[in-house]
Amino acid sequence: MNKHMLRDLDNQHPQQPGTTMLASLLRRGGVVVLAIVALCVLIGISLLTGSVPFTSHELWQCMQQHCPSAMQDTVFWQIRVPRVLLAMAAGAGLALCGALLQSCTRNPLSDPYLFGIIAGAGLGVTLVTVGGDWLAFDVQHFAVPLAGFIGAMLAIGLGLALSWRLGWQRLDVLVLSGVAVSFFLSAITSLLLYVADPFAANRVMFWLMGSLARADYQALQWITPMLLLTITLMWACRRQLDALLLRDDSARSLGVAVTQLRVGLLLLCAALTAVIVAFCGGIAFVGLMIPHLVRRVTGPKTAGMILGCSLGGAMFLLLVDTLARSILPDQEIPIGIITSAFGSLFFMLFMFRRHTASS
Amino acid sequence: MSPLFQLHAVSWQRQQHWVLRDIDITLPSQHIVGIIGPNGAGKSSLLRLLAAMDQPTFGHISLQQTPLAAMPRSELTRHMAVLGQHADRYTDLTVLDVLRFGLLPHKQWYQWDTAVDTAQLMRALARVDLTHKAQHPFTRLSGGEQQRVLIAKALVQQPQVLLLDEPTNHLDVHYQHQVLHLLTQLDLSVVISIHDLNLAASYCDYLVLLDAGQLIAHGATAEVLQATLLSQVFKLHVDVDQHPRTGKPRISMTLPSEQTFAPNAHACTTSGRHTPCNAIDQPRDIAP
Repeated sequence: MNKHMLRDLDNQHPQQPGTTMLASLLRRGGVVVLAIVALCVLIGISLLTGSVPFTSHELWQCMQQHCPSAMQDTVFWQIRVPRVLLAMAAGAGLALCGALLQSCTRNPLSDPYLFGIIAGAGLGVTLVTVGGDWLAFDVQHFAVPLAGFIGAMLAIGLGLALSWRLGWQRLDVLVLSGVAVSFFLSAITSLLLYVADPFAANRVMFWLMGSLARADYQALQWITPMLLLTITLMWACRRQLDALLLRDDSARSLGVAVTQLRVGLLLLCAALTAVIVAFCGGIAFVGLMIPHLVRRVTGPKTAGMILGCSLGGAMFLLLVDTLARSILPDQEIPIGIITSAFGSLFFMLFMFRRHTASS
Repeated sequence: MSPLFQLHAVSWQRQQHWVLRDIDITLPSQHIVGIIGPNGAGKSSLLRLLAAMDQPTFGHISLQQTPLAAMPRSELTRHMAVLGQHADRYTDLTVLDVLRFGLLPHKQWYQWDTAVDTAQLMRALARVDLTHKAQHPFTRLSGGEQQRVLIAKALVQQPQVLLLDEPTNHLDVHYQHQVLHLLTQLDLSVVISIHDLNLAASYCDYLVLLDAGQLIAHGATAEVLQATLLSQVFKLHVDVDQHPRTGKPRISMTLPSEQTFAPNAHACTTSGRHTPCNAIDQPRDIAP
């Protein structure tokens, strides 16, 4: 049987496109419904978990504005609810940023850490915390996230300027510029922490490891609009982002303004990551791990990634924050430690699977 | 013969090298135009300029009487579709997903993909005879099928002009003929760069012969495929006769006896085979 006959045999059982598409849609729809149910369950568990215990009945009463006590009312509305919302917004935002960066650079290892955004935010926070003793406490409370935001934007600006100078069209130059800026800014932060007052350094270290302990409605006021803007722009540019997965020339031949789109999305991503890390600190691996997992379910197309990363990132960070509050009694673990632990395990599994598949 | 592309004194310098120089030519529409020449002749570079991927250093190019430089990219993508030489990353995408890229120039950001779009994709697939593969993963198709899907993607763009850079690269002989035959059935203006002179002779109506960035000859296929001309460009003994079945020119080439190499003679090794150094694909510097 020759090669062409084999091809013909392969063609004898055509699949009906309509039926297969419907089956695929139903399967993906089922996964989305499951994810939404899981998210609702996680929200419930997270609201119940913490140093002030709630029963499910009390939780229900609080949700109807009838908390049994004033203390529970304060804990529920001023601490738990903003914290849960912040975990969801930050998780979704970081996962979306990771997906965006991976599409923009066609590099599966891209995430906000790689572009120095978190290192820049860390430097900004360190400068204010270590050198800002002269600031009044309430001003410092506001200055920390602002400094984080400015630092992150400075980092992405430096990375873009460097890659502009060295060869803008080459994606490896873009990524390596980000890595160089990240290490440079981290070195300055480490030097400042080394010479700083240990108490201030301790506060910065806690911030660098990531925490949602500072969650309040002010943080949500900053993060939510940026998150919604990112989702809207990602949706609007979904076809162009899909085309970026091809080579640049191919995307251009389809009418995509590749350079403008890439710079615009990098800046958008930097702004969203900056507001998230400014309020939540450095949370590693979410932007790297969640898009990888989501891509396996939804495929690489942007429309599916937006929904998948939003749900997946929100669920993951909510789970991690709940664990951070409940693993040790009367003590909270920085969430960056848990995300890093999950992330490294994920990568080992990922590499083992690839190794098994290739062999 | 209405003109498709008109090139006036086009020269292109890239990284201090003149890759094309003084190209003056008019390409006809509704034909299959082949760009032929040895490695480094500037075939792909000329296609890049025609596709407006790059701008010429001197001279200008018009598409159907309109200067390319004056056409916005969005309009250009509705006029012409381009298939590059290098493979794109279509991992984890089905054939229909790949075809959807062709809708991009016609869609606004707020528009959803509709049943009409899917019908259009299926029509394009039908033209390349692959409707039964609509839901197959693109990467699991054979090389020839992948190339046909990419041509279908280009058809979804509804272009008047199709530009293809080495569309038969990496295909076996059966698929080379299948893909080129398909191009003759599309009722479009097609410009391809192609290495294989016999394929060019079989399927192209009009040829452009380049060497070291310069235009050597252009015209109807039989006029360009002259033994002396090809011998001069390819540095080989060339015999041209008529194919007994198709009546098209048939080219046979042999290495001149003075250029045959002893095993220990000075030679460059590519892919494990000894090849004359000057035959290796390397950019040529053309004096301006």
